[in-house]
Parts: sequence; structure tokens; C-alpha cells
Amino acid sequence: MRQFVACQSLVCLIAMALESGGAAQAKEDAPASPPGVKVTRLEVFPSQIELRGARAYRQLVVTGIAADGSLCDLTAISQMATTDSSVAVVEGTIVRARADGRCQLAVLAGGQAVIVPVEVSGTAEPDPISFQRETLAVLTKQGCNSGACHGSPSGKGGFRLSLRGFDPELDRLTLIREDGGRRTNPLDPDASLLLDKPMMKVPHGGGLKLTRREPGYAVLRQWIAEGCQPDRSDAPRCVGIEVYPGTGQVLKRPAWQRQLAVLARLSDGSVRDVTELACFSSSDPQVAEVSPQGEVRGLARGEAAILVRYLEHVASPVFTFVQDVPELVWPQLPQVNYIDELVDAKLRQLGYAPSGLARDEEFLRRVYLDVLGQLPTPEETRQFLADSRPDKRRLLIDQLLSRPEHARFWALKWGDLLRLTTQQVGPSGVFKYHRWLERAFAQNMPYDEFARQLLLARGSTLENPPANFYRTTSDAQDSVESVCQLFLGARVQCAKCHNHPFERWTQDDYYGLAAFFNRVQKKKSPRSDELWVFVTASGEVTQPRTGKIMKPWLPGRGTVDAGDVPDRRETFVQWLTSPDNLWFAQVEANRIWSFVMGRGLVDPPDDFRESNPPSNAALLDALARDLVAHGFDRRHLLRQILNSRTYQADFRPNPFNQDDTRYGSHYLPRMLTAEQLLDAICAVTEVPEPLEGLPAGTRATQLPAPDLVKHEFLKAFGQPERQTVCACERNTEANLSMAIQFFNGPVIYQKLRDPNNRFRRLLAAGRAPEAILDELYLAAVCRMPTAEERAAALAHLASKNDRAAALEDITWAILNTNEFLFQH
Amino acid sequence: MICARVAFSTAAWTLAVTAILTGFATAQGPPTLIHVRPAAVAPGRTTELVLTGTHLSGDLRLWTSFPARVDWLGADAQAQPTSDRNASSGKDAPPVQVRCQLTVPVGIAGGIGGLTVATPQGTSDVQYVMIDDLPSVAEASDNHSPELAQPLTVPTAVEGQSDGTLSDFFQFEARQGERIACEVVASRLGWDYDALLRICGADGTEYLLLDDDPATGADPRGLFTAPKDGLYRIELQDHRYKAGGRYRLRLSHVPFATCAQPLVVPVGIATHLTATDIIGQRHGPRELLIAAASGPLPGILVMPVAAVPEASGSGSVLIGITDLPVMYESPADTSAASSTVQTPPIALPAVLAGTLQQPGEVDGYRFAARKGGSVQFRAMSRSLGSPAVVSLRVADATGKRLAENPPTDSDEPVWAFVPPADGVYQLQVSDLIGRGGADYGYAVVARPGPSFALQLKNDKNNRWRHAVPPGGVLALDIQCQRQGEDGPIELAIDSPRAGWQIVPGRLPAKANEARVYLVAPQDLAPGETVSLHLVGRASSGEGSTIPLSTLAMLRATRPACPYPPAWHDGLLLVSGLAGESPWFRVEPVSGQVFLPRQVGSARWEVKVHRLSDAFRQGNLTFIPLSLPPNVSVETKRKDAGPHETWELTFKGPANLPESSHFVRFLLVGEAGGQFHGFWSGDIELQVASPLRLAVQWPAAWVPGQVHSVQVDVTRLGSDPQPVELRLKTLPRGLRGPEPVTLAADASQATLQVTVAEDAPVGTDLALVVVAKTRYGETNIEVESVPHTLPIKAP
Repeated sequence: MRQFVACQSLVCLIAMALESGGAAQAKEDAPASPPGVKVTRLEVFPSQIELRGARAYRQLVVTGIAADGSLCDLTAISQMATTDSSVAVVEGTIVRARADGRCQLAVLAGGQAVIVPVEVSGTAEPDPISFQRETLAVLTKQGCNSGACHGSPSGKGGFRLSLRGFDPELDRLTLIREDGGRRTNPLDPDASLLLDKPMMKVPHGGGLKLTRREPGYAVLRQWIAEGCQPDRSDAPRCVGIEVYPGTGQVLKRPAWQRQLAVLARLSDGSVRDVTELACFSSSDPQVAEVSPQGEVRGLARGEAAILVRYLEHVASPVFTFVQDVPELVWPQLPQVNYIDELVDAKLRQLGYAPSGLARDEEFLRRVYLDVLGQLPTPEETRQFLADSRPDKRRLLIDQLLSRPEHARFWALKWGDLLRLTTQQVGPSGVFKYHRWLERAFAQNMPYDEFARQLLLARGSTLENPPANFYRTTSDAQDSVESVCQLFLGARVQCAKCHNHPFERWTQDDYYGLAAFFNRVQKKKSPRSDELWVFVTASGEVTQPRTGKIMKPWLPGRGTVDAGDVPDRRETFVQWLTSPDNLWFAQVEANRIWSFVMGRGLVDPPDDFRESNPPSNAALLDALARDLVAHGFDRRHLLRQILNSRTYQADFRPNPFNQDDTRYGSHYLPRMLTAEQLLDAICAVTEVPEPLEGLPAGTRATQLPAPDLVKHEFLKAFGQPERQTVCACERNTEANLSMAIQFFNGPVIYQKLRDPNNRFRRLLAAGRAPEAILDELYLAAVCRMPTAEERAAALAHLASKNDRAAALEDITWAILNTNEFLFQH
Repeated sequence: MICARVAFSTAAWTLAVTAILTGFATAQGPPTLIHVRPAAVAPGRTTELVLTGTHLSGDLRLWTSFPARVDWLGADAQAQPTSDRNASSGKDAPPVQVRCQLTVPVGIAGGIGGLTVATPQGTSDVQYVMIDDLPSVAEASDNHSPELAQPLTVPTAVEGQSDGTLSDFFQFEARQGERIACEVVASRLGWDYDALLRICGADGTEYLLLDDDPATGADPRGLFTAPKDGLYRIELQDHRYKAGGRYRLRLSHVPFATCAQPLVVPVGIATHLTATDIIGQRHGPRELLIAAASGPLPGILVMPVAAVPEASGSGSVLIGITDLPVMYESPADTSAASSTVQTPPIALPAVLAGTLQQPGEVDGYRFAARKGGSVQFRAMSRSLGSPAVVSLRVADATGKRLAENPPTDSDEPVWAFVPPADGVYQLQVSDLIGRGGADYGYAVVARPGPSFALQLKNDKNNRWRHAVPPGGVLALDIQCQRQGEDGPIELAIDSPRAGWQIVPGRLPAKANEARVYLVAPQDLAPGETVSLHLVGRASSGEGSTIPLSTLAMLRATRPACPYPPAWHDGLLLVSGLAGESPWFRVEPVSGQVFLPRQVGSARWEVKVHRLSDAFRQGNLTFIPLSLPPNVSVETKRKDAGPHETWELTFKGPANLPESSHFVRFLLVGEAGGQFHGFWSGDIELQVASPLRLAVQWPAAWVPGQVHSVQVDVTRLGSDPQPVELRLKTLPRGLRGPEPVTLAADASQATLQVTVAEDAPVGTDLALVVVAKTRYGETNIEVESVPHTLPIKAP
């Protein structure tokens, strides 16, 4: 192909095309290129077009390239015409076959022109509609077989289809046999309910879903007219899809549009354009939207994955939308480690300026809450603030990471994920399992070993507490779902009943994974509260839909021969924890990041999928590699993050990052968790919360299980029930119960009224009001009161005869500030 | 090599100790024993015990599961109401304390024993005590911080109690390299204390953490080696922060023995025995000869570790004993693979004993079996101190797995394999989760043919200790788990005290559950405590005697103790109750019952007079003994008490053979979980026809003459009815009368038979008299014995 032709020749060519009947296809009044974009080069995809069959077509993608290398999509504004409309025609941005022959396609945009050779063949050969590749694809594209419509388990209006066409044979029978055969009428296709309903010729609960102009109409009508034929057994199947352009495109404003073309690779080696049949959706509708025709349009700075689905195949090209920020001057901030380098790179790309470092008192409070789950004491705060050493933050981080409270607090986080409750693991098991977790963190057990001990656990749930992992899972399927969500960050529950509608997980994958775990059995023992986890030598998994015995299957590797391995889990865990399996490390690295940053690079942190890409893929990759390189040392990774400037950034946004919530330009304040908050209130008032049945001084953040101590305050502030392995169970969304707790809840009231609370003891010791105020502020927010705060508090004290009562009010007011309630 | 010949008793309870504590007011209720402190006695020494409980006064007797002498010291002057959480029995009486001295003979094996107290009002539950040569000290009350750690001198044993969320701290001095064996004994003593033990240096550095032990579960044990000279602290807590649980912390310089190898030895055959200690070292071997068994087999013997001198130290090991041949694993057949081809099949029945030395080890034993039969396997490991949880599989001669024992709640599977064909099979023994080690011993009892197991039903109304008056009755609900044995099971009592009766003495065929009554000796003294075991044996006479197990009930009542001491399983304790007035009286006590064989039913009425208010609403059960085959009895209460009539209906099939049987009844009254019994006298059950015929025939039939046939009728029963008499089917040549009806009060009739003139002389004619009457509502027809007479010429 000649990419560039002389203008004179191009004019002739276009003139020829116009003369040959292509006038209607040219967009004469379209702009040459987006405003402000000077196109120096033009690329057309595909660079040559081969159309085989009467219904063949190709989606065109026209890309303009500016002198600085930036791209702009000119598809929608290009002028296009073929030299022989009897061979091929241009409809919109699509070239369609007409008759066998050759011609040329001329594309004119941005003052540039490209000629693309077109060859059409096989138009005289029969080209019946493929039920699986076309009819079902149309039903999916139109939403007919979605979970909200006829793809729900009970269908809609007496019409039930398999979800997104995962059971083609059942769907075909449903379409041609059920309802008295009225859904499809080959003798009179236009009298088929399959057309009349979505076109609203007859009442349709789902409304208008199909018009004659849509490609799907022609597919459905022709399939009916052809007698609703199934695919021949040797008909080519789709084995994969490719999307053009691929992932990683950076689009600079104003060139925030991009046309996608979707190609299906068939089992016979051929390639078909299925752009018209593919489904498109955006991972972040605030950043980008996509039309049903595959035209992506950026809405805001950021990254978004465009999920492209065709049959059970999925692709998710990621697009980055950037823009110039003229006033932005990149601040000169230190880069402590690779985290800052990669965050900065992303911020630079997106045009966000990072905020500066947090103040010492804010950093102190933040790092205490993240590492220990508790506030520093006033004395600890004073010492840190008075410390003039330049590396005092690093030293503090090291010190905190070695404190026993760190292990106890992080055991709480994993307790949430491991469903550690009395109900699930028994009244004895709950303490043993929790103690194992605490010791795992206290000893800084490598993460791969941590996973191994859990996933390969066997024996007594009391003698070997990790065996409780299988006590909390009801069966092999539950094990698969838990393992995938915890260690692969994948929610595969959907695939239990059908292929995952949005992801690559198929039902076969699901039961292939289950084959690793189905031999895990449990039995009671004579010892009360004890369960034995053991592995039997036999037992296979049957795929419920196909009835096929499933061999163990691993993501990325496929079916594996477990042979006579005594415990198939070994094979799975070996693959899972292999340093080569970066996925495993990424999930944990992301989880650690989300614990301390308040938001995962992949968020939610246990929802890794193509349609939910990381906000900074390079960083996630680097974190994971760091974790692997250091022997899965989680404390090392946590130390790296805590020492980064990114973690220590000010929570206050600057004018150049205030709309960023994903890329780490500033610290994201978040509300303290229920347990942190209760402990913080206890710390400020110095009145511990009695937790019945646990040693005095046990903090809420050290509770082994939420059902050991029923606590209304903790429930109100989102303490999870631990019924699932999902991190989403912990809810910190504001609610009325929270407000009531702070207005007149018994926890705060009793602590404020306690005769031995902090301010009453200080009063009794004869401390001056100013000093008491200092203590309260240091205890609650790690700083001295401001002049305004001090003045207001002293005025209030002066206005009251009862100093203790006045201090109750002041303390209550401090506890109600966002500064106290939030980690910032 | 030393040959240790050990005379022993599998039932240590054969030597019980009683004494009378006098000078106290008469107790008002059955005694309860809340705890015993210290909960340990030392062999060869006298230990002073303080017993806390209720109703511990009057004629107080102590029963121990081990040989001992008791000397009562009287009530504790400082007795205080106890705050023990387990004092549930003390709700109606304040707990008191009494003291006694218990002297245990030298040579008694260490381990877990038990004691109860009994009075004429009943017997207490068993309290476990440890037979331990370590000196006991009590826990200090204020040892709840490292600073207040209680000083100890090793060796020692501390008895303490959980204070819930507060840990107990102890401290001891040790020199660098000094080894100190530690163990907590709690769950083995039935105490609900799940220990977590830490040993730290003075600076708080943790050197040892002990939690669950593979063999003893909640009782941790391990070996601490001091890294340097200095002070060390033990922190001990119930890991659940549960208050009230007691513990015994044992510290010694020699590693404690854990279990023996082999786990099972045969009676009468010298066996090389080794013992394994807590660090997995084996000691021995020494030769052991069990001369004879005095109790039912298989049994369990507590063996002092002194029998294996190299394992010297406190404690003992448990050894199973059997009368079956024991096949020990040998290097040639330890692996499942080698066993398939090299060793000859083992003749069953046998006990297969071995050790899973290595993780993942599978031991194989070949045996021959026939198609359709079954082979019963019963594994033993945990109950003998081994941590192994045995998993059994059977493979064919090629090594292909055919079957495996299904998982159950038990750690010692009982499983029956049914061979699909005649052939040689292989039993594969492994640990359920593939563990192994020096102490992972096991034994599998393998028997061909049917088997069964008996156990006391784990039911809230069922008990294993009772108090009954002399000759009184107690009831046991027992369950029979049949593994192919469907026939009747003969039951018997095994007790050092003679005079027990069991009613009924047989479990019917196919019965899986039954209630049996035990009748105490008539001379059972009030307060006398008797131990007994119930055993069963298949009526076919094949197979061993099977003892009744009470394990399920013991586990239910002591959930913290999954493996109660062997002597406790199956033990039934009965104490004599002070004479109680009978609950009821029956009349007549004996008599005669006529069972008309054609009717198959007879009634007998007795009057029951309820004498005790306690029994006004109680249930009464008639248990017949020695009923004739195919005869049953139904009982029905006909009117309200307290003076009520009971109707007993004997039932059997029609035409029972005539006979006479003597039947006795045990009448059992039940009220409030108590039982009172009453033996009836002999009741003669006469099975006979209610109508008998005696016929006098003429000497011969003479043609042309009329002969008289005299019939005498005998009626049995109390309601005579008219009887119709006739001759049955007269032969040609004879002509008889129309049927003759005999009045109810008449018993004789003459039938006239006319012989025809042309009756053929020289032939024999057979005649039968038929009598018809009614008996009750039933029509009765009786025929005389056929009589043949010749026709003779006149």
C-alpha cells in the first residue's frame, strides 16, 4: 500500500470515486482534523482489505499523527470512497463487500490521504448466518440474554435464554421450539416474535431493543429466513479476538476519540470483522465512554479500560487520556524510592502535580493508625515532634513495624478476609486461628509461606490452626471462590453456573480449579470443637452443565496432569506461589497498598480483572516484583510504601491535583475503621473499653472475632460480620447510627463522664486548663490546639462553673471533628 | 536382657477401698464430689487429700480405681463454701470439705486414676486424680504478672486454676543446657483447661511456646533447654481466657514417656517393648510378659515406665493387651508395596501392630478372605497415647485400592470390608493426614466374620453410676452396633461382687437397642460401692466377649476429655442404698395359668398396690423370664391406682405343644429415674387342650350287632361348656348315631354304633370321635386318637 500519495493524484482518485457513485459516501463538510491538531501523517487500519463473502465488512480506523508523535483519531471525520462501488462500498466508517473484484479505498483526512487496496471474493458462495457466532452475538449485543433480561435464571416474560449465550444448543431450542414456535417463523420471518418484540411491534417489557438500521436486525432476520439452522459441526469457531488499536494508547486532548475495530480469529485460520457484533463498555464512565459501534470518547484525565466482549471472548485495551495543563509547574519534590518515581511518572503523564509532604504531626498520626491501628500517646507525639533528626520518619517506621501491636492490628485485617469468627471456626478455634495470624505477622512470615500454610493445611483445626481455612469453606467450590478472591483477587462466583459474563473465567475454568480442592474433606473428632481436614486419594469434579470429568486447570497454563500426586493442592500452590506468577504477588502488594493508601491500585483490591485495570500498572508491577525479590517479605514492602513520599504526602490537594483520587498525587483522608475509632476514643479519654471475656487492656483492633464481643458501637461503624472473604464487607459509609453514637451514644457518654478519665485526672492533679487542652489535642489529633481553638475552649471553660463538665463538652467537640474521625 | 514378668489386673477397680467416716449428721442426699485437692497421689506414699463436695458426711466411703488405703481425717475445720464453677450439684446443699489420707502402694503405675465417695444415699461422680511421683505444690493466688511469678524448683508439679483473662506466671532457675520436660495435664484429668504455655527469659524473650499436642490434644508437652544460666518464667493460660479450668503443670528433668511400641501385646507371650518420650527418643527394648488377664479382652494396661528403665521418669505408658495373635510389622512388610508380593497372608483373627515411622508411610498387611464374608477392622492408637489417626484401606493383590474406611467422628475407625472375591488382599494402614514418627504406633484388630459392639446409650436418662437398695434394680439402655452379627447376644455381668442378675440376659436377634435391668445382690450393704462391667457374646458362641462401652457417655459428660482413662470405659458403679420401703406390692405372687393350646391366649390378673407416693405416677414394667418359645406376654393396666389390676395376656400360636413351664416376672417400677424391682414367684404356665377325650371302644365289630362307644370328656378351664360328640366319617358297614350333646355339667356319653349285617368280616375299620365345644369366644374341636377294630364274625 502507498501510505502517501501526491495531492494531485489523490484529488483525481477521489474525483474518480465520486464519479463512480461514491458521492453519497463522502463527508464533504466534515472538518479536516480536530482543532489545534496538525496532522502530518495518516494511517488507516486495515492497510489492505480482503473481504470474503457477500456479508463481509471491515471497520476502518483512521489515525492522524502529529509532528510530536501524538495521535488523533480521524475515523469519524475522514472522507472515504471506493473506486468501484459495485465491488465495495463505504457505509459510515465501514467498508462492505458488494461483488467479487478489486478496487481501492481512498481516505482523506487532516489534509492527508491514503489509498487502501480492496479485494472482494466469494460473494457468490453461500454465506449462511452462523447461529453461534452471529445470532447469539446479536442477542448478547442487544442485551436480550443479559442477567437483567431473558438471561436471568428464570428468564423474563416466559422467555429464558442462557446468560450471554453460554449454552447455544439450549438457546436454539428455546428460540425455535418454545412458545408454540412463534418466536421464529422461517416462512414469514417478519412475523417472528424474535423480531417483533424487540422492535416493539408487539408489547415488550424490555422496551425498544432493535431497529431495522442496526446490523443485528439483518442477522436475526436472515437466520430466521434461512430456517433457524444450527451451525454445522465443522463450522469454524471463534478462538479469540483482537482489538485495534491495542492497549496502552495515550490520547492527548483534544484528540480524545478513538474508533475500535474488533477482529475474530476463527478456528479455520480466517479472520472476521465483528465490530458490529461486539459489546463495548468502559471501566470508568467518568473517564471515558464508548458507543455501541466502538467509538471511545474521553471525558476526563485518567485511564480507562474499554471492555470488548464477543461471545465468551474478552479484550480490554486501556486508554490514557491526557491533556496539557499550561499553568502546571512540576514541583521539585524528592523521590525516596521507585514508588515515588512511578507515581510521579503517572502524575506527569496525566498532568497532576503532587502535593508536598504531610506535616510531622499528620504523618505521625497516620503512620500510627496504619501500622498499629492506634493513636500515639501525647508523650510519643511530643518526642517525635521534638526529634530533629532528618531520618526520624524512617526510624519511626522501623520502630512501629517491630512493635507487637503491628502484628495484632494486621491480624485483624486478615481475620476479616479469612472469615475468622466463632461461628465459623468454633469457640476454641477462633483464638487459635487468630493467634496463628498474629504470630504470622509478628514473625513476618513470608507471604508465600503464609499462603502455603493456609492452602495446604491439613490435620486438626486446633493443633494446626491454618486448617481452619477449610473449616470456613463449605466445599470445593467455596474453596475455589475463596482462594481466587484472596490470592488471585478474582471473583469467580459467576463461573460456577455459567461462563463469567465480563471476564475470561469460564465454567470449565471454575470446575477445573475445583478439581484441586475437591479431595479436601473434613471430619469431626472426639475432641469437642475440633475438626480434621484431610485429603482423600480419590474423587473427581464433574462439570454440572456438560457432565464432563474435569481435570485440574491452572490460569495461564491450562489443564495440568496431577497424576498420582497425593494432594493436588500441592500443584496448585506451587503454581500460585511461584516467583514467576507475578499475579499472586500483585494481589498482595495491591492489598498492602490499599490498606495504607485507602485505595488499591486495583480497586476494589480483590477484584482483579481486565475491565478493572490498575491505576498505575507499572507501579503495581514494581511493587509485586519488589515483594518477590525480597522473598515475599510483606514488612519490607510495607516499609517501602510507608517511607515513600507518596505515602507521606499532604492530604491537602493543590490546584493541580484536586480532582485526582486515583493516582497518588495527595493522601486520601479516610474515616477510621470501627475498631480504630473505638480505640482512639479510649486513648483520648484514657478510659479503656471493657471487652468481656478478653484480658483487660485488649483493644478493639486486637479482637480475635467480631462475634466474641457484641459491640453496638463497632457494628454502627462498619465492623464486618466476616461472612465472606470479601474486603467489601467492612463498610465505612456514613450512616445515622454513627451520628447517634457520637451525639449521645453510651460509649462516648460514659467515657466523658468517667471519673477517672484523662481530663478529670488532670484536673484532680491541679493541671491548668491550658495544659489539659494541650493533652487532649495531642491525644486526639497529635498537635497543640490552634490559637482560635484554645481561645474558644478557654472561653467555654470560663463560662461554666463546672470545669469538668466544660471539659466534657470540649472533648466531645474534639471527638466530633473530622480531624479526629479521619485518618489524614 | 531383663525379663519383666508383670502380674496385673486389667481392671484396677478390683481393689476398692472403703472406710466409714463417723460422727457426722446423717446426710440428706446423695454425695457430690466437686473436686479433690491435690488431684494427685504418689505411689509408695501417703497423700493427704481435701475432698470438696456436698453431703459428705455420715457413713462415707471412698472408692478408688487403683489400689489404695484410706484414712479419714475428718471434716475440714476451715471448710468454706466453694466457688467452683462445677459445683452444680451443690445447689441444694452447701459444699463442705473433708480430709483423708490416701496411701498408694509402691509400684502402682502412674497415670490417671479415679475416686468417688459413696454414702448410703448414693455415690458421687468419679473425680480423676493423677498417680504421679512428682511432688505437688499449689498455685499461688497472686501469680498473675511476671513480677509476681511463683518460684518453683524442678522437679515439681503445680496445681492451679485458670483465672480467665489473667495468666499464671512461674519462674525457675536453670543452668545452660539444662533440659526441663514440661507438660500440662488438664484435659486428661477431665478439666476444661486448654493450655497455652510459654517459657521466656527474664528479659521477656520467648524460648518455648507449647500449645496443642498431637497425642494429648489440649494438654501441651515439650522439652525446654535453657540457653544460658538464668531465671526463666513460665506463662500459663487457658488460651480461650476461660476461667475456672484446673490444670496440673509438671516439670521434670527427664523427658516424659508418651507411648509404647508396640501398642498391643499378647497375653502369655514375651514381647519386646520400647517406650518413646516427648522428644521422640525410644528407650528399650525390654522383654515383657503378660502372664494372664483378669479382665475382658482386649483390654488396656497401664505400664509404669520403670518397666523400660532407660525411659525412667515420671509417668507411664498404655499398652493394649489381647488374647489374639499379634502380627508386628517387620522391615520386610512395612511398606504397602513390598507387602503385596513378599509376605505370606496373615491368618485372621489377629492384631496387626506397627509404627508409622515416616511421614507418608503406608504399612501393608496381606490377608486371605472369601467372597461375601466380611473382615472387621478395629483400629487403636489415640486411646493408647499414639498421635496417629489411623486410616485403613484395602487393596487387591495387584495393589489396586478397593475400599477405605469412611470418615467418622472417631479417630479409631471400626470398619468392615466385604471381599468381592476369594483371594488375598492387603490392608493398608496410614495416618489420616500422612504424618509419621517414632510414636505414631497403631494396632488393628482384624477378625473375619460378623461382629458387634455394645455401648451404653448416650442419653440424659441413662447413667453409668447408680445407687440401689439391696436386691434393687437399675436400668441400662444399651445399643448394639452389629457388623454382620444378627443373632441373639448373650449378656453377662463381670464384677468382683457376686450376686448380680441381668434381665433379660439376652438381646434378641437383630435388636439394635434394648433396655436391660440389673438386679443388685440381696446383701448389698448401704454405701458399699461395687464396680461392674457388662459383657456380651454372640449366642452362636463364635467370637470374643465384647464389653459394653460407656465412652460416648463419658465424652458427653466430660467433653474436655476425649480419651478417658481406660479403666473408666465400660465401668458401671453401683452403691448400696439405705433400705428403702418398697414402692409397691403385688398379689398373687405366684399361681397357675392355663393356656389353651387351640386358643393361643390366656389371661392372668394381678393386683398391684402402690405403697409409695414417689411411685404413684410411676411406670410399671413386667419383665418375664423363661417364657416358652413362641410365647409372649402383653400387659395392660385395667384400672387406676393406687390399688390397680394388671392383666397379663400370654399369647402364642395355636396348637402349641402341650407342656408346663414355670415363668417368673421381674416387675420394675420406674419414677424419677429411680427403679424399684419385685420378683414374682413361679407361675406355672400350663399349655394344654381345654378338652380331652377318653374313648372306650368295643373289642370288635360284629355284623348285625349294636356296640356302645363310651366317651369321657375332661374340660380344663373355669368355664365349662356343652360338648357335641360325633363319630367322624363312619366307614361302610357301620352306622352311627346323630351327634350327641353333652350338657355343660356332664362329662360322659355313650354313642351307639350299629354294624350292618353284611359288614365284611375280616376287615379293619378305623374310627375317630370328634368333640366340639367353645372356650371363651373360640370354637374348639378335638378328635380322639384314631382307633382301628376288626370286623369279626359273630
